[in-house]
This record gives sequence, structure tokens and C-alpha cells, in this order.
Amino acid sequence: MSTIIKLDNVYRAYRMGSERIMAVNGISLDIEEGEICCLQGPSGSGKSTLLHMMAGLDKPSKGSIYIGKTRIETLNENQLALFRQRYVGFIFQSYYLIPTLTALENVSMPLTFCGIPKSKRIKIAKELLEAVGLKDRMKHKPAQMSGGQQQRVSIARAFSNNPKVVFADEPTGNLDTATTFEMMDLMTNMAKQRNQTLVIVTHDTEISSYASRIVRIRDGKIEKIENGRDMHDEKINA
Amino acid sequence: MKLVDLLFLSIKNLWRHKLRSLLTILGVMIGTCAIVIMLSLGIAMNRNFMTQVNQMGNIMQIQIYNYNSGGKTSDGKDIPKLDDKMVAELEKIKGVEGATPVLNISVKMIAGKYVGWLQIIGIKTSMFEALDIPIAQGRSLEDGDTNQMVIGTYVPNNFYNPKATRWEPAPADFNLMEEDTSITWDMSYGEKYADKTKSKNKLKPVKVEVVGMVGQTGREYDWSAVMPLETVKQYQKEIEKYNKQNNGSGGMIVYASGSSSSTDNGYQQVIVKAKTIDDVVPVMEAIKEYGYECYSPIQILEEMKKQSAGLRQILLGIGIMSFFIAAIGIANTMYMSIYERTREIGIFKVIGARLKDIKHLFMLEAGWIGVFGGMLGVGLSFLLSYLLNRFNIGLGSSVIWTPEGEQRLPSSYIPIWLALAGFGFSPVASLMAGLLPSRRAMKLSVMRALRQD
Ligand SMILES: Nc1ncnc2c1ncn2[C@@H]1O[C@H](COP(=O)(O)OP(=O)(O)O)[C@@H](O)[C@H]1O
Ligand SMILES: [Mg+2]
Repeated sequence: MSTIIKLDNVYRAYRMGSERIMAVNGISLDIEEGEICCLQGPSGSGKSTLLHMMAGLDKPSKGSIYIGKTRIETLNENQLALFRQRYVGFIFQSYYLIPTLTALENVSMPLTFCGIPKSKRIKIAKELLEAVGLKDRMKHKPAQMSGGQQQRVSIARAFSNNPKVVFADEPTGNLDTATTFEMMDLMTNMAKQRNQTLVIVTHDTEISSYASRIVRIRDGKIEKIENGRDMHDEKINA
Repeated sequence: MKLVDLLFLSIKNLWRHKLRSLLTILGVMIGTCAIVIMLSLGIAMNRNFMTQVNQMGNIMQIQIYNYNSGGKTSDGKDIPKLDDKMVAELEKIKGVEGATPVLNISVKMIAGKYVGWLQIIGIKTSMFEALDIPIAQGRSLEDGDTNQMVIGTYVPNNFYNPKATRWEPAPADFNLMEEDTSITWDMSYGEKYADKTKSKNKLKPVKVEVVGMVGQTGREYDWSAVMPLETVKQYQKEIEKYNKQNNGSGGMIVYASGSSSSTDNGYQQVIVKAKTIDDVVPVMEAIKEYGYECYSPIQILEEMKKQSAGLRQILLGIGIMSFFIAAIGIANTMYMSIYERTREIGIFKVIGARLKDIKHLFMLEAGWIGVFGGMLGVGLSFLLSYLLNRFNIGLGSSVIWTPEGEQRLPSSYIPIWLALAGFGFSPVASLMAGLLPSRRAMKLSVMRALRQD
């Protein structure tokens, strides 16, 4: 397995007036292709900040981030847009769907930006919505759907342009436990099927059972890295 | 992102806020309409001036009067003699179609038993066409004509029978083209009193041939005859000789103008015809350079235009101001919609929108407002223009009298170019109004945009 994401001594500082807060304080980490990597840690430890930088939504103050062979912190806005089209799917805790578009339109939106013709867009989006179990909700707007359904749409959208890596920032934070497991199954299965890498942020310890590795973060630093897959396997074996 | 998708998405976004988009479009509509209508009033005004002035005489003809020939210009140069050489020189001025001296003589015309006073205008036959003298009957003067003439509509009305004891005008169907005609400088010819006052030299009338009749012009041609310049020149010499011989002997002094005797300063009057309306003023300036005085109805036109220029500028100002307000409305709408959709812009960026996609999207939204507003605005302008003309609401007098009767001049006129400019201007202005807001949308960083509520 080859490394798809490589963090090399990454820092991210926020300036709050005269104060400087180190949200990410010197993190180096390799993520392998096809891996399901779980970032864990208490609130405010810098997980989201790190995830945003890996997805090219934010830039480090210091250090470099490689995705494949590209150093993404050096890309300009246009290159970043192309990079996101090819490499990045992102799932947010609060879904971030476009409220005026239907489920189908939301899912096909990334493909629109890629310049894919309408008929093909619709076909892909329909397949994905079917896969997340929303076959009969295609024409619904986000406001007409439950939180779980909206998150399914957002998962389908993250996978629609068939990205190399899917990032998820507390994707189940707003959902009840039953839905949480459904959602995790959905994401991990889809990622595995397509041999995609999945990086998930969560502070829910139960979810980490889906991960191949768990990276524990505290105060912007890596506290320790656990091999989650083994734990999961052991659980099954037990 | 494909253009169709952009077009579709931008329309969809406008549709989200139907009322707000509609109000902005209405603003642009009123702005466009204000500019178009204000301009149309000014344009109609100028066109009406042109119609009115054209009635006063042909706008492309410049009259040169030789009051000061032989004198000096204000800066001390000699004013050249206005002779044939000079006329030839005038014809070489850029924008001049042709020039002809104008000679005027008064004669008595004899046709059968009737006689009549007649003014004869001598011009170059080659300029006959250029002077816009309409021929109603027969033919116009041609090169090679000598004692041929064309006469005005009212000329036959002057004829009477001098031998009759009571006043006897020529009959209504009197046609000079069919009579044997001749002219004489002896103004008492044929009159009963002429027998008593004995002239020293009995004059034999000169034969002339009427070859055509001039249609109604409203100008001097209606009462005169037109003959070739060289012929009239010759007549003039003979008139002078005749006058000298009869001076003080009680014979009538014949009025003659435009004399060309050796002591004078050349022709009294020359008409220069410009090629186009735009040539008139430069040609006049060139003529004034020589020191001559000249006149054209265009001076009145220019004066009218000058006097109304202020008014037209105010009109244009009002139009531009209303459009500015509309443009501010567009910018405001765009800013509001960007503010509302900040998070959406962030999401778009996360899922792979390029900067130019976002910029184009917002520019297109502004553009649509401009397109719809412009279309409605031009439509409304035509309606308003129609109503203004229909109910004759306008600036200043708008009625003229023509041979066909009273004619109403429009108070608003929208030429095609103005309508097209209205269509084109409003989207362009809207795009400019949308430029700043869309740049702002483009420059928002992803995370900042996403965090906005
Ligand atoms: N935009 C920001 N401006 C200032 N400080 C920020 C900003 N975003 C995050 N932080 C700070 O950075 C630290 C890490 O935040 P975050 O990455 O959101 O943590 P987590 O996702 O692990 O809860 C926190 O102390 C937070 O207050
Ligand atoms: Mg977080």
C-alpha cells in the first residue's frame, strides 16, 4: 500500500488579537491508500483544522501536506479547485447541502463543476442516491428530509465525483446512535468498494471500531496512534 | 462548468427571490426607459428643427453675398474679386458639389398680344439639378441651351393685354410653352403710353424659347424664369448699353443686379452647393476665410441646436441619473444575495467550483437582470413614445404647415440605433454593477465562507 496523504510537521496558528493559538502544533502523519483513518480527541484539540488542511480548504502556517505527489499548500485557488474536483469529497457534521436544490441536484452539483453533461450527471447521482437508500427522495429539498436523510445525501454528494479521499468531520454528531451505525456502515462500505481512502473525525469511541487506524490528538499534537482494525477484528473474533 | 449549466443555475437563483429580482428588474427597466425617452425627446427636437429649417430653403445651399468684395478682411487681407476664376476656385473646396454665380435681370416678356414683367435668374446650366429646382412640365435647362428658359408656376399670371382699354389678364389656360415668346429691356414696350414718350433707339425684342415649367417651390423660382448664365450675362451688357443711351431721356431705368461690368468687383451673388449636410459648415468656414459673407439655413439650424443643447444635456443627465440609481439597485441586490449565500459559495468551493464559475454565476445573475430590464425598458420606451406623440406632449412647437396642409411633428422619436443601444447598454451596465459584488464572492476564503451563518 502506498501513502496517499503525507503530513510533514504541520502547524496552524490562529491569531486572536495579540494572542496566538496553535490549533495544530507540529503534526507529521502518513495515511495509506484505501485506509480508514479515524482522528479522535477532545473538543478544540485541532481535529477539524487538520482535516480542513488535508482537504485543501485551509492552509498550514508551517509545514507541508502532500496528496499523492502534490504539495497542496502551494496550489493557487484554481489549481485547488481542480484538486478538489479530482481528490476530495467532504462530509460535514451539519451536512451543508444547498437548500434550494433537490437531493438529486445536490448530489450532481460536484459533477456540474467538473463539466460533466447533464444526462451522465443524473445517472451517476441516481445510482448514488439509490446506494444510500434515498431512491424515493430524489426530488426532495433538504428541508423536507430528516437529519439522517440529509446526511445520506451529503455522503452521496461526497462520493459523486469518485474522489481519491473522502473526509468526514463528525458526520454523525447530529444523529442518534442507530442512525450513526447505519451511516458509518454506509461510508465505510462505499469507500471499500471503490478503494477510496476515508479520513473521519469523531470523538465517539464506538465509531472508531470501523477504523483501520485511530489517531489520537490532544492540544494540536498526536498523542498516540492505535491500530483500530485489529481491535475491530478481535471484537468480531471474540 | 458548462455555459448551459451556468445559465440555468443563474436563472434558478434569480427565481429563488422572485420579488427581489422583479423589483431590481423594474428598476433597470425604468432606468433604461428614462435614458431612451430623454434621448428620444432630444432627437425628435433636432429632427424637427431640420424639417422646419428645410422648409426655409435648401439646407445644403450656401449663398455668398459680395458686399465687401474688393475691400479688406478684418485681418487686413484683400478680399478677392468674385469672378469666374474665383467661382472655379470655390468649386474646388472640399465638400463642394458645385457653385454658380446668380445673375438677376428684369425684363418685359412678350407672348402674342400679352406682355408681362419677368425676373430672369441666370445660373450655370450644369448646376440646375444641384439647386433642386423641380421641373413640372417640359424639360430643364441643358448644356448648349442659349435662349431657352424655364419659368415658374406663377409667371403666366403676370401677363396682360397692354392694348386693352380695360384690365385684361391672360386667360387661365395661357401656356407660354406654346406661344412665340420674346423679351425686351424696354419696360414700356407695347404700352399705350410708350408711344408718347419716344425712345431714341427703337429696340427689337429678343426671341426666347420656354422649354419647361418649374413646379411649386415656395422660393423665388415660382415667380421667375431661369436661363443659362452666359445668356443672361449678355443680356445684362445690352441692358447697360441701352440704359446709358436712354439715361435722362425719360426712358425707364431697368433694374439689374449682379452686374459684371469691367469696373465692378465681380458677381453680387454666388450659390455654392455642399455635397452633404455635414459639409455645409466647413465649406462656409472656408468661404468666410476669403472674406466673403455667406448664408445658409443651416445657421438657423445650428443656432436652434445650440440653444437647445442645454435642454438636451439636462434630459440626458436625468436619464443617466435614473440609470445610475438602477445600477446601484443591481449592485445592492447582488451584494445582498452574496451576503445571504456566503455559505453556499463556500460549499460550492468545497465541492469543486472554480473561481471563474462563481464569478460567472454572479455576473450572469446581474446580466439577466440587465437583459430583462433592458428588454422591458425598451418596450416601455416605445409605448411611452407612442403615447407622447399620440397626445402631442412635447417640448416646444411641433406643428408645421406644408403644401399638403398642417403636419404634426413627433415630440419623441426612437431611432433603431437608440433602441439597440438601450438593449445593449443595460446588460453591460448591469454586468459592471455586478462586477464588484461577484469579485467579493470569488475572493471569500472557503472556511470563512462556511463559518458564516
Ligand atoms: N477560525 C478560527 N479562529 C480562531 N481560532 C480558531 C478558529 N478555528 C478554530 N480555532 C481554534 O483552534 C482550536 C482547534 O479548533 P478545531 O480544529 O475546530 O478543534 P476540534 O475540531 O478538534 O474541536 C480551538 O482552540 C479553536 O478555538
Ligand atoms: Mg471540529
